Amino acid sequence: MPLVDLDRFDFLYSERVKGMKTAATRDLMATLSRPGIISLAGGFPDTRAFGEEAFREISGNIAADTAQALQYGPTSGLEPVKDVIVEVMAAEGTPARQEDVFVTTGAQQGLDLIAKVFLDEGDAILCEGPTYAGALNAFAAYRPRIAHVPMDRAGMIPVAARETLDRARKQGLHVKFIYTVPNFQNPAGVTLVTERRRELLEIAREFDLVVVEDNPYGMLRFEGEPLPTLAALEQEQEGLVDRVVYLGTFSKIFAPGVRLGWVHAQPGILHKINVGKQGADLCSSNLSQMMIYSYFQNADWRSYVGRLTSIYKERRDAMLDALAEFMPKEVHWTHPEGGLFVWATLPSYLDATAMLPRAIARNVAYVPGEGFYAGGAGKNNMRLNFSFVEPERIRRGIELLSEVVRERMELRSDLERGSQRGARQSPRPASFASGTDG
Amino acid sequence: MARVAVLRGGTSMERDISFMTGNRVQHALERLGHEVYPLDIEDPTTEALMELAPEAAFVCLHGPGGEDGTVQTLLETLGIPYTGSGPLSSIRCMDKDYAKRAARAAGIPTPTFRTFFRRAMNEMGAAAALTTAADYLSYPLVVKPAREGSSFGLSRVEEPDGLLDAVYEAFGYDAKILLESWVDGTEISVPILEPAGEEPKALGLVEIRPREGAYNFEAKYTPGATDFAIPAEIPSEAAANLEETALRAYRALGCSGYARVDTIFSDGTPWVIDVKTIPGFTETSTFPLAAEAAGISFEALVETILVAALQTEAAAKL
Repeated sequence: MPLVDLDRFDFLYSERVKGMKTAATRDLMATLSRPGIISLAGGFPDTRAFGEEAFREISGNIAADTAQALQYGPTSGLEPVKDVIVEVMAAEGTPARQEDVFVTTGAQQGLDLIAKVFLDEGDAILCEGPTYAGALNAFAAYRPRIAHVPMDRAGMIPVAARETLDRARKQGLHVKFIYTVPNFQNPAGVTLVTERRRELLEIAREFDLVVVEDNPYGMLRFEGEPLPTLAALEQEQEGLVDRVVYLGTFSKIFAPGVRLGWVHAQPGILHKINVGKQGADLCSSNLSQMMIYSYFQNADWRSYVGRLTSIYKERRDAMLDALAEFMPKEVHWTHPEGGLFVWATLPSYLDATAMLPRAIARNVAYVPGEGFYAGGAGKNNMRLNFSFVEPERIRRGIELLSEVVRERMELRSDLERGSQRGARQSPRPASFASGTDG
Repeated sequence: MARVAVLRGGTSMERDISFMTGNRVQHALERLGHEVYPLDIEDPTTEALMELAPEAAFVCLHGPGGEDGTVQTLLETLGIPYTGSGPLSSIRCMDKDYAKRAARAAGIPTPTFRTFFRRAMNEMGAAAALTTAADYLSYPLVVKPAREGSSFGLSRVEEPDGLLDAVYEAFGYDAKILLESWVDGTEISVPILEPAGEEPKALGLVEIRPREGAYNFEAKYTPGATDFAIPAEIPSEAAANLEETALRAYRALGCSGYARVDTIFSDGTPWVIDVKTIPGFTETSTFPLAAEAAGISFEALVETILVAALQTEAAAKL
């Protein structure tokens, strides 16, 4: 009798990969290609703003040095690109030296390399709760324990971080680093205030940890004054680069298509990262790097960032206005001063993951909060992206989403009301099991 | 050789599966030498169909909109012959409430059930009757949306504590839901093919063995997540009975061309759970796998279904 086994190599796969199930949510995301859907689910910058003409010019410049563009490059990146990075970091107020910069294939590779360099199975790390899902994915391959530190509107709460570290120490866990997205955090949209940045550095010194500062959105500020990066604060306090490992990217200030980011850290750490990157991809694309320095040397990149920022600000405003206009009062959300995301909190009994198919059926999509936690929290949260959709469509999307939320809340109350009446007739009344549900 | 429009996409939860089915069918039709026009369901679809005036439409849509009579009535109006079941049969099978009532009336075993409307919850306080329904059916029971093709919104409830949550979940997918008695047994699918001018016949029995937990959306479409046994490992007498029951369900619901009858085989009784008028034709779908096991290649299967659609002398579809 033929037993049709559809994945015949199942017995050969590593435990690591077997453990990494694709979330059902991810399969749903595939339905986002359907016509008419308003997707607030992405994390995409709006590359449509760049324009064909500017792209042609860059390509023309590169053609002048075709042989190098098509060649392998040094593992740590081309020097002119490092100079660009130094300039970009300076523009954000972080002093940097060319030799402390290391080019990676997106900041995402930086995350993977840092995990590779620091983590053995069972080591612990501290992250914000919620945190960037892509970081959790990158870390997961090295099987660490992840502790989420709660946030409020001023970012990660230092007292809670300290408590978590004390507890971990008592449990004999080896905590390796604190991972933070200090500016307009993904997914929460919250910014870590300066005082807490100092405290976090102090805590890291006290427990002798590395701080991984992931700063993809820092330059996309719509209002308020820029805050010093942890990398800048450390240099200001100690006069040198020590325990802060800073991750930057060209994805949000230029384009994610070039897949280029960087690590800024002290030489010892960079040396280890160099070893890791050689095994991963030898070097980042020369072609991409040449696009970067051609563009950053010749074009007015600051005004392009300014243009992006004003586009995103208009969209953020549209989203915040629509949320205030349409959402039931039981729903709360953050007010990001920059970046790409708003984080919404539904009543605790609503399950944003279970609600997603319903929302998609109504032509609006978001990312459920669960994926931003390592251990199942965030069920009643959703991440809403405002950078990729035009203001009118954002407004319509939030209106549709509000209808879905409202319906779920009304149904809940209808069911509760009815079943309480039913309880008078029955010895075994139906009731909600408590906790959350869809 | 015929000019054939392949309809695919749509807006149901199974949109992606529809593309997979549609692409595979399209390639098979091309290999068979037909003139194939893939059409995604969108605003100008009707206009495109009128302009194209194909000799037949191969409907590769799953779920509401494509499998519930919507597209079938449109094709009927346009005078375009199409594959599979007619409008009434489609809506009867899509809506598990209708399907089960029709099956029950024809004396076909289907698990006991109760139906609830969202509207009754809102306007008549119908939640008060949930316990009455549950006590009648007794635990464990299944709560599911009436019209949802995949396993979205379906839950098994062990005790009164979980009932309201399950009802709440199911209403997320449809304004009508079913509470259904749980039947413990072996899940067996019966693919049925009705070639032009012939009686419908079962293409064997497919036993579904999920690796872990229930056969849900993910397991259904992820290679390796489910094991199939073709044919199902049950005694031959029981197998004959099961095939006969599935064929009776196919006729009672008025299906045409082909369909898949999903059953649970328990203590000698084949309980009919669901009839799919447009089962998936992806690489991992049971229908084409069973056809292959019965010696019918994917091309031959597609050709048979198309020829049945083109059969002009046949009686009108239900």
